[in-house]
Amino acid sequence: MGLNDQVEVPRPVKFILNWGRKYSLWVFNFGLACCAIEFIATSAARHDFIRLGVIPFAHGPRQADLLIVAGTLTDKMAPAIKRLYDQMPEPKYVISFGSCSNCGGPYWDSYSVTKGVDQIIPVDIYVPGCPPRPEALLEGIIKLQEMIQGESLKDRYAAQAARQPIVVGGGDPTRHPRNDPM
Amino acid sequence: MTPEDLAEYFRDKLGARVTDTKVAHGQLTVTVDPEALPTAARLCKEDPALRFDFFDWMSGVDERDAGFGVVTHLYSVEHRHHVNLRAVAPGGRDQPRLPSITGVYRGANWHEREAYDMFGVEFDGHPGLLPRILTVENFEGFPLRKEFHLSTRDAKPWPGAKEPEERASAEAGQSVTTIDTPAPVSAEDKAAAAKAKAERAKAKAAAMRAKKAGERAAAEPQPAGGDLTERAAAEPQPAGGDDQASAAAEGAAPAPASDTATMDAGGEGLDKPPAPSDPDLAGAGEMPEAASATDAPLQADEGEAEETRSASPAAAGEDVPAGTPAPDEPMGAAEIADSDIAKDAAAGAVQGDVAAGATGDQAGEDEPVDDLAAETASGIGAPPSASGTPGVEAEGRHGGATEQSGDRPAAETPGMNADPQGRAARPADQTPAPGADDGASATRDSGQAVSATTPDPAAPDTTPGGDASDRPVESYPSPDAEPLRAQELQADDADPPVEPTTPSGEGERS
Repeated sequence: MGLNDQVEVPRPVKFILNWGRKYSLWVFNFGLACCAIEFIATSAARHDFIRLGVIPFAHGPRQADLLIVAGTLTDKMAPAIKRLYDQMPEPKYVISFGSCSNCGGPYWDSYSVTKGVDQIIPVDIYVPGCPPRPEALLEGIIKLQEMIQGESLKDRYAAQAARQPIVVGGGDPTRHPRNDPM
Repeated sequence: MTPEDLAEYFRDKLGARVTDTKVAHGQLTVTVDPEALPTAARLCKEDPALRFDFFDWMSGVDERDAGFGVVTHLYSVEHRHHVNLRAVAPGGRDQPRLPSITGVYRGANWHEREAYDMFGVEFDGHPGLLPRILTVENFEGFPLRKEFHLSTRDAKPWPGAKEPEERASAEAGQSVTTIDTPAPVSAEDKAAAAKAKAERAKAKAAAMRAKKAGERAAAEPQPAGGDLTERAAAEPQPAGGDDQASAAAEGAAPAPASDTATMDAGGEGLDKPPAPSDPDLAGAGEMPEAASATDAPLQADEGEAEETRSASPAAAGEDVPAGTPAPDEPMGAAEIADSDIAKDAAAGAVQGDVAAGATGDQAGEDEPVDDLAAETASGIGAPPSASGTPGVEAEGRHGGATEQSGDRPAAETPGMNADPQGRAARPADQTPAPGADDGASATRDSGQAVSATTPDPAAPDTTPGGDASDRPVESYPSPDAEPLRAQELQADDADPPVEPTTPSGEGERS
């Protein structure tokens, strides 16, 4: 990955690099359920996340910067998502969109649903909701961009395991609605 | 053939191999000897009188002590009849086995694999039940069997009756009520929680409204279109409606239906009364929190967005996740509708002579030429001011921009422009803040000024108004994306009233 994962680049350079990455997020839509519809709505004219620099329809995981997992991830599908995530080039980001991909959501007691995509791949942003509104995804994207703007790639690679996930709206992403009604 | 005739036919053809026939809900179920299943299937497919050429689907059935049944649904496109071919697998619950019918219907392949996955029924002669088609390779057990316990339940018991047998045992041993008790409680809790949330949202809305009104009052003596503002904030588009109402009022005459504010606007142009009134409504009528929230927000417009963000969540309650659907969403929609309707009504009432349909146009007619320049400017600045119907916003907006009501004082326009958030400004000024109130009050055509007595429910309605002015900015929190704003605004304006998302998106918006 060149120098910037080994040395701390000068701040102005870092600013520009981060600024560039932040506004050209090629997104790989991993749509698995109804949340995918909300994702599509977010990409369409009304909410239009292209104005935020999020570019839908990456040609494939190898051309994508951002993976948005939207929907119910099953154990059967989990290996596929892991594989596709591994194909994405660094630096890569993951947004977990919706309760199902956050923690299993309504299928928390299912025999076939993975209880959270973060069991498979590291997640940067959690967007709760069932499904979340497009605005929620927009905020998630903005949060991600803020994160990207402020980050140091060197640190990111160094501390990849210790990344602190961001939960839109705050709270514990694994919170169960029955125990903690809003 | 009727199902009964079909049953006869099967009995004739298969004799003793048919162990049972049953017609229920107009559908025939033929139970055959498991050994004869492929034979029966072939008969179904090839017999000219039956011609079941469409293999619909197949499913396993847990029949408890009897083991597992497999039901094959067949349909004849030619004869338009239907049969359920059923066989109970010998081998009980331990080793259920059935002959495969993939030799007859190739489409049965995956269905049999599914039946194996879910129930563990093995099919002799199937090309390959493994790998498992639905579950993961190393899945243990057969999830649709009655005895399959979900692991989570093992770890953490379900509060109510979870399995039929438990209920039965419970009934035998003790009163059912013990089992059922938790459910009702939880339901209540849920209701309470929902209610609380709704209240919070309401309070938040009130707070915002109050804040805006107060702010407006502080900043400019002008008419506080404020109430509507809220809605607009939540919903970009609705502003148009208010404008329309206001425009109509201004252009023609003070509308009896519209609030005092509207009247003032019509008469004087500078309506200070409305501004104060709003806060009162909000503060007094609404929740206590509103008041508190109100105080903080009286600041510079720019700062507002930020403040709003921080403040609103507080008002709304700590932990509202962004994505959460707001309980009051529907309410918001209703409110919008109310206000719009009210406005229309008000407009119509006010100018009885003018065609009710073209409220915006009416307003335009009156407009004096001299104001044009200013208005145009203002219009540009604040596109949403349009007088059009909410639904027709786009059109309305343009019309409104060019031809704003003449009555409106020229002074207003500058004020609007002056507004830091110029584009947003438009709605506030022209719109009678009360526009929202109109919605509520308009219903009572009496034409009396809206008093503080406005029913609580009405108060929220007020909210919808909208100065979308700051709202749009808020909706997309990223401060750094300055260029985006214009786009956002446009987008927002263009947006039809469709989604009354107000509180729902709290996380995101506020």
